Amino acid sequence: MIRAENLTFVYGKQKKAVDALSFAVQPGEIVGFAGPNGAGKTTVIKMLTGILKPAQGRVLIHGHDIVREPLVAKRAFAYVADDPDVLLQLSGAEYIHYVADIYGVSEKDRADRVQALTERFGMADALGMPMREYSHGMRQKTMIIAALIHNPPAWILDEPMTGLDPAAAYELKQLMKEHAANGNAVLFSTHVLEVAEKLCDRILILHHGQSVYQGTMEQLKTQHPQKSLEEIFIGLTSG
Amino acid sequence: MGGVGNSWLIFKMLQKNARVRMPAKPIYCVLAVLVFGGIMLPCCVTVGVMSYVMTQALAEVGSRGNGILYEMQILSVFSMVFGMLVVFNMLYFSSDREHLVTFPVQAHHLMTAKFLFAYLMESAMEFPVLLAALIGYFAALAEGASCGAGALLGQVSPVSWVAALCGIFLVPLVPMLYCGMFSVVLMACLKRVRSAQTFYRISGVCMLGFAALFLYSLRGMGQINIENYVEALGSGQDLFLRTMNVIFFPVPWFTAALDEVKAGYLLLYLGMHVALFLLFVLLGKQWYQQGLYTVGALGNAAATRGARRPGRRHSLFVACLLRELRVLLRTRAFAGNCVYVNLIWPAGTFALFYFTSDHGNLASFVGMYRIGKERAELAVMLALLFAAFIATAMNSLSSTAFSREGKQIGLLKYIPVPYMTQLRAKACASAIFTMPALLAMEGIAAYYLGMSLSKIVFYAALMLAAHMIASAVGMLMDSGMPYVTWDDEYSALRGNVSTFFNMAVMMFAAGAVIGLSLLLYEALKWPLPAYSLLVFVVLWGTAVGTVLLTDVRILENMEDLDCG
Ligand SMILES: Nc1ncnc2c1ncn2[C@@H]1O[C@H](COP(=O)(O)OP(=O)(O)OP(=O)(O)O)[C@@H](O)[C@H]1O
Ligand SMILES: [Mg+2]
Repeated sequence: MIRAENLTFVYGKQKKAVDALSFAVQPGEIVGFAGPNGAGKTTVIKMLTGILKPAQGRVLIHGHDIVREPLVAKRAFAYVADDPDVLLQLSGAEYIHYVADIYGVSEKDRADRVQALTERFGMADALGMPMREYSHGMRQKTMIIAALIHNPPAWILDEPMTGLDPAAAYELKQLMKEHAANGNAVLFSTHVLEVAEKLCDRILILHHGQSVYQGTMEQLKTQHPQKSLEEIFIGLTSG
Repeated sequence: MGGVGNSWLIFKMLQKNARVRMPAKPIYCVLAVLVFGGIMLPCCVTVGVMSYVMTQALAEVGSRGNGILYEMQILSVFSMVFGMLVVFNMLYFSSDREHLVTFPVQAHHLMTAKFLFAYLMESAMEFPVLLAALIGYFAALAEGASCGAGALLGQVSPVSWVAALCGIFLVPLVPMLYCGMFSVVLMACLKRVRSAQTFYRISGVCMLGFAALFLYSLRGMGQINIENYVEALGSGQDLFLRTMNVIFFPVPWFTAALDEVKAGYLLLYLGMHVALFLLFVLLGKQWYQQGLYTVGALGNAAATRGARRPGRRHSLFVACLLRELRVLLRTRAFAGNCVYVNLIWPAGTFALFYFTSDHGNLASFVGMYRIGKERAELAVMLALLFAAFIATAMNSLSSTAFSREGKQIGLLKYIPVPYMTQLRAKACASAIFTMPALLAMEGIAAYYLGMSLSKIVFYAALMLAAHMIASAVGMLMDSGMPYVTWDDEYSALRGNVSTFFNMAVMMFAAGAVIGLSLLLYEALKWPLPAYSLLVFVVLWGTAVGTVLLTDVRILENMEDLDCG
């Protein structure tokens, strides 16, 4: 569903942010993306979503190359960026409807999904306000609702839990589980290892732009018995 | 298909997001009325009267349409010079870029939406001016046909009406399209440049070269003097007009359709816009996505700047000042619009003198100054004062002093630095970037006019006072209503009402100072040195008073800042 082959990215002339990274997220899977600050998570996600062009390698979303067939590929994923501060003068509702228009979501689907999602995230009352008057978490929720409005097969979320209250974080986790259970793919980056442990089928740990671990949490723990998750993580990503 | 629809959707989204929030204080309504009645209206009336007079004068030599042609070409040049940076930044550096590209919209449709948005934002002020120019033209026509406006309505052919209507919207479009194409091509050429510094330097040089080219083509304007300009314009021999008729080649077709009622030219004119637009979209289709990738991969060559050096210890004031200067210089939007924009004063002055100091009206003025005519000296003094007021307001260093902080505005309140120190640092940053440009401008003028040293110093002191007044008022406005919810630096500058109003107020102030000075000079009939001293005392008194008064208010405003 989401497939990265030999991805490499260089900022400027020498700053290699991602180095020959390959991975795949299969339908029905939730994959967590971990790694220290500056490891290259956001850079990878920006390549997956067509913001950056890989210096080498390629990205396939739902079988479509994001550089060669951007439109089809872009229709196949929902993307929540790490920074929810965009188009702040619009109201939440306006923003969500513009996004729905761009993806050509029918009025019925749109009404149903907005209703369901705003209720789950407790945003129904705030949607009429301009987003500049939202708190960080409210902006984050609006971005999530807008991203999910076209109900695509792949979800790509960059630190989606940051700033969410426990109830909203819980709802988001439920949504991810439901989505994967319906045969779709979810990829998200996070710094919270417990979330990754509970939610993910597989986890991918990035360090200096290279993958230092790909696999299930159980395997990781059996490889390093008698160590806590944190210790394992720090061990893998130090030096 | 659907693509055009998507362009339209994104365009509407951008436009909705750009709504300027008017603060609900009555003072802002007053200011808005002042801006409209005091600046927009006089501008339009002036342009209208100009086109009326020119059309009438030129009708006598049998080339009636050249007056309006001349005005349209001047407006084209202005659109192009001011549109260049705006379009370039809109297309490649606005912060919503990363957000919008993930939508399933083709890159060139996104580009079209952004371009249209930039075009409307930039040209909104130009439409009324164009309308006024055309009204002046039609008024001259009615006068020439010695019939009333009502009768004229029936006489003028529909071709002219349609041409006039289209012209209002299309005259600024061609220059903006040029800007768009230039941006896309420039970006395609910069593909191999990976370091941000090199990139900014090269694009900066390109922009400067471009501006120089335009200043150069403007040199024809300085050669006009009252005696020969009707002739030159009438015969189409005017250099400026000839150059511009090549660069903005559709505009003569517009006047042909308007004035000579040639329907063929109208079709040609409209068709050429469609063609140019398609060409722009085609270029975008080829290179826009590539350009976005290039911007995304720009890296910092000097990434370790200052990292290894152990920080020197600075006093509170110096630390605050350094922070201001670094933000201004290293933020692209601020560097261009607040810092480098000041260069136009010396550059413009140089161009003005260089191209015209040996002929035309300016040459005779220089002669008058050199032999010590009092009026000429007074004019120079007032011109410099005017420049100081306008330059300070135009670079918006003071009127965005607080807005610049954006979401980090709270910083001002929680750092343990007295508000006064922070305020001084902001004022100082404004002076550091404005005054050298003004002094350079004065130096150039001094060179061509043969000013004595004592005068240079005296004028500089006057300019400093004017700068202080303008800067204090700008900061006062911004502290009362900082616009901090911007999502990128360009909207911090454009969505900020203080910037706009500060400009308006300073235009009034400058106008008032100059008007009053002239009146007083005529009324008092004092010798110029004594009179200059009076101006000096009054201006510095006002400056000190303004600074003291505004300080109190700004500090209060800083206390009350709403950082929520
Ligand atoms: N615009 C940029 N220009 C230059 N280098 C960049 C740019 N953006 C990121 N980098 C560099 O690329 C590397 C990876 O950054 P990235 O943002 O992908 O990290 P991340 O894993 O998302 O970190 P975090 O956990 O803090 O979000 C970092 O070393 C960073 O310095
Ligand atoms: Mg990140």
